[in-house]
Amino acid sequence: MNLPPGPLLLLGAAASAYLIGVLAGLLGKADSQGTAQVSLAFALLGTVLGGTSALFELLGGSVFNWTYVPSGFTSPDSVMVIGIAMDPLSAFFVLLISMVGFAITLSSFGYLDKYVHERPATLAGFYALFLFTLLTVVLAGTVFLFLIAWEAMTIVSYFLVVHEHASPKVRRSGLFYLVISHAAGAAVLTSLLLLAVYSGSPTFAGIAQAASHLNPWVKSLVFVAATLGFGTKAGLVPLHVWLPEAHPAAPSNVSALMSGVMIKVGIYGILRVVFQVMGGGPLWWGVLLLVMGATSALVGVLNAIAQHDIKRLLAFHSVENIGIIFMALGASLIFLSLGFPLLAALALLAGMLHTVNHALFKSLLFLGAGAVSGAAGTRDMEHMGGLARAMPQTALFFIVGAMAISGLPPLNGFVSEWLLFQAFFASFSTGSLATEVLLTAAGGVLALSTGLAGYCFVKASGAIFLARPRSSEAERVSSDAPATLRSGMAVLSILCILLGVVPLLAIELIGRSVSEITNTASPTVSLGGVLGSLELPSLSGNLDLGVIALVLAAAILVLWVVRRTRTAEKDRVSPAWDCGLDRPTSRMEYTPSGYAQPILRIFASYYAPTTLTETSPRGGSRPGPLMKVSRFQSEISYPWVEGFFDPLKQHVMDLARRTSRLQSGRIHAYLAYFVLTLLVLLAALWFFGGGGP
Amino acid sequence: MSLSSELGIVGIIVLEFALVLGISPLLSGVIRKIKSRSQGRVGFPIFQSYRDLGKLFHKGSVYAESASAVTEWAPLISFGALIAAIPLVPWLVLPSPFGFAGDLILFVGLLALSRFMTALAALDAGSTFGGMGSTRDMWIGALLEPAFLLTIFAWGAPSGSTGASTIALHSISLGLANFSPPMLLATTAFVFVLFAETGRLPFDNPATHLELTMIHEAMVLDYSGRELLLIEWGKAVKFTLLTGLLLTVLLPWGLSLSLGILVLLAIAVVVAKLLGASVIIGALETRFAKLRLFRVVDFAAVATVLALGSISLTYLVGV
Repeated sequence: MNLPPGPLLLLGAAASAYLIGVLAGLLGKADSQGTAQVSLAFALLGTVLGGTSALFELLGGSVFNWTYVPSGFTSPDSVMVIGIAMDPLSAFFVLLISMVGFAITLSSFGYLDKYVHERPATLAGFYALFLFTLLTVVLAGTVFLFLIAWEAMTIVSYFLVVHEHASPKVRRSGLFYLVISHAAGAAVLTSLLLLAVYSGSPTFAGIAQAASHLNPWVKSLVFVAATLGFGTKAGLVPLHVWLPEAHPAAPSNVSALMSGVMIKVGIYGILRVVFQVMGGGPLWWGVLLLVMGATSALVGVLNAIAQHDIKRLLAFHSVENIGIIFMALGASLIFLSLGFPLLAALALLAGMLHTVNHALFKSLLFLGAGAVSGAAGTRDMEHMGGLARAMPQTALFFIVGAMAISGLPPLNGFVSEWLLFQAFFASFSTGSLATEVLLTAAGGVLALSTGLAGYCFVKASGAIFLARPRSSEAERVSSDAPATLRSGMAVLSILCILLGVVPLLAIELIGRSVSEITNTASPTVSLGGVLGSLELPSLSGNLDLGVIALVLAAAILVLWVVRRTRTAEKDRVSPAWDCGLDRPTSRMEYTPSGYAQPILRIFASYYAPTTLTETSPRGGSRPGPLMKVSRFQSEISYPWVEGFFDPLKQHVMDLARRTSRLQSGRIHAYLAYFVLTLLVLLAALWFFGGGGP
Repeated sequence: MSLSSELGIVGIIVLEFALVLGISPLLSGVIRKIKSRSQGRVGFPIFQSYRDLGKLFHKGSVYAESASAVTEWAPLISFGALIAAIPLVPWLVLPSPFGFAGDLILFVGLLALSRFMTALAALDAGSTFGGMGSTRDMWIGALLEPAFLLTIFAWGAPSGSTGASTIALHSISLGLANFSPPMLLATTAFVFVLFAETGRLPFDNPATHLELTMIHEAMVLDYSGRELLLIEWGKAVKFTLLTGLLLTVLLPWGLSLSLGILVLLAIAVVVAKLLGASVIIGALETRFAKLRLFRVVDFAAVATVLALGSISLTYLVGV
């Protein structure tokens, strides 16, 4: 086997670093901050080594595609082969995990030190193990290793979610997450085993070669199972219900890693199985992904607007952004099936770039949320406010993230959405009316969800950082987040700006996997502009954000200089005017619920809120003889949970109760079941002829 | 490219910046004049806006105690975003010498950036009305975003480009056929967007004195001095940007096709077109009463459907 030793060595070193981190964290004293820091330091080293190895591959120039199966692990006629593989797609995801993991790990030092008081070392150990399993999933070259790593990733993330397991709410969220993830795991298992068995190869590379001969029905079955399994991990509506439960329950650095990186591994699964291995499929695959993506984008952003809990809000925005990515993947599949590889490459590029971008700004926002909720002692935005004064840098970084997720130029979120708009717009050249109308409508959905995301993030940033504090805890916050936490956020902010102004940096790296998957030439990018401009062969517009960023910066600088010139009158500070109200207090401010109210009202048929108004129970604790006490409560409904998952849970519980009659507790009964099962299996094997299909 | 032509391009861009920034207060003055006259009042002189801005320039700012650095920076970024959007529209020369920097999707993005910043700044003082205006401005903007974007798709579909210059050149090549049904549908949708984005009746009443009915005015109540100057001027520039875009697509005639002396003629034509459009928009505005706030949703839906209809019609007839 002809293997590049450099990257393999680096990967081995990265894996060792992670595992030392795991051992240090889990074997050391659970309550020791020092042990936690040692563990995190090794995890940090792991991200650097892993990222370097991916960069080494991606910038190496030559086409690389290797599968490494250690000797002793090969058995020609079995699925149970363990091996790792590296191709442009894996390298891209290794880089993503390592880069974002680096920033989050950096922040974790400060986060663990200041905001996590129980068993920090255990948390750090599992955190390192989580990073290790994420890396293993995207590097798995065989179906068998992939499945093991996938399951390990789920279980380790479960341990992280329930870290604060003293709270019953956290335990319930964790269990919910574990159950749904296992159902999804079953779907992933089905899809990958079908592929392995029908193609007769245990490695992804082998399956990809045999894929064109597969029965189309099998392929479609694989596609459906993969969409269910990976879609659940990614958080695609209606499989997203675990996400807004699990993310808020976990410590914030873990939420950042889950939302920024883990759900992207679901995207990796789709890219690997549906795109790279099977090479696309019939038109309805793409239409299904597009429609599910569009639904997710809208459902995600609408639910996000209604949240008070900052981490639940961010979790719903993950659903939205995963929807956007799936819209891109769907469009790409549609173009592939219609025979437009260049347009497919454009849409895929948009989707993969958005994957990176979302990883960057969402982990940035989660770290910011961790900093403010740690400082204010609550995740409820109603009780924050005015934090920009005590935490100016956190505020700046959070607002950068908010702008990026709202798709505003010149930040990175805008670039990927721009590419996706271009892909939708380019549908005019397919000549198929249905496709054109479908993709144009998708453009409208993307515009709406982007606009609403902006609305939601003005609300969130304003409610957290601006105006006066709305609780005594928020008022008491006196210092910014720890320096390490801030430096992690700074790294992510800089990357958000950098990939906005010079998107070519990311596009060059993604381009190799895109061209490999769609069989097109690597996206050629013209370097005419100041910092390079986007001109791909299939683009119908052009973009040079470098120049625009320069114009913007110059304009702001000039305005600032002019602003600073002396005026006849001095600037002064006084109470807010507020149309002459006497000293407005924090109770007169617009709260996040007040801010969101118009959208809740406009989309009332979606939210179906139940409201409750009470006025002044007689006597009671009236503040004065002329005053009445009133209370207003409004609760939105979650149709996906109430209409689908709750009934499903009921059915499963009923079924479990019925089957529990089998469990008599007598050993000989269990032995009888055992023998019976064995006999049935043997009979089935004999009946179906013994061999594989 | 020779030095003289590069100098010419720089000259054109500087001219365009000066033109748009300079004429914007005049256009808002013209509209106010038209509205006053049609209501039987004399109204302000049309150059009053310049005096107002000049007055604000000499005033000091009063900052709210509760305000943070956002109050200071957001107006700068908001106005800067509008400045950056200016060269994306061909004002004098076709194709625009700065067209390589971006297309109309970027134009939409920069306007969204500007709105994000003013809406965020409105929350900074912590006053009730600021929050009220901020949420209204943001949700109206968000709901009109699909209409805005689909209008651009509709305009771009016949020429296959989202770049303003390509679209305008295509319009010129069509001649009278430019006023086709899809174009008129898309343009109607865009007029809705223009009225909403610039805070005009029936969406928002720029002349209201009741805080509870305000949108834009409610957001800026706690601003003063040079920050207020930037916000007010920015509002006028935004109007010029959107009107200019509409004129470029619908009536691109009169723009110079080279860097020669014709540019001077183009300046006169553009100024005349903008003034004419302002008169028409002012006259249109007097025909509306302010809508109930939540009826705006219907407007947004109609605009979206119009734009989508325009695109479908284009595809149906064939590009």
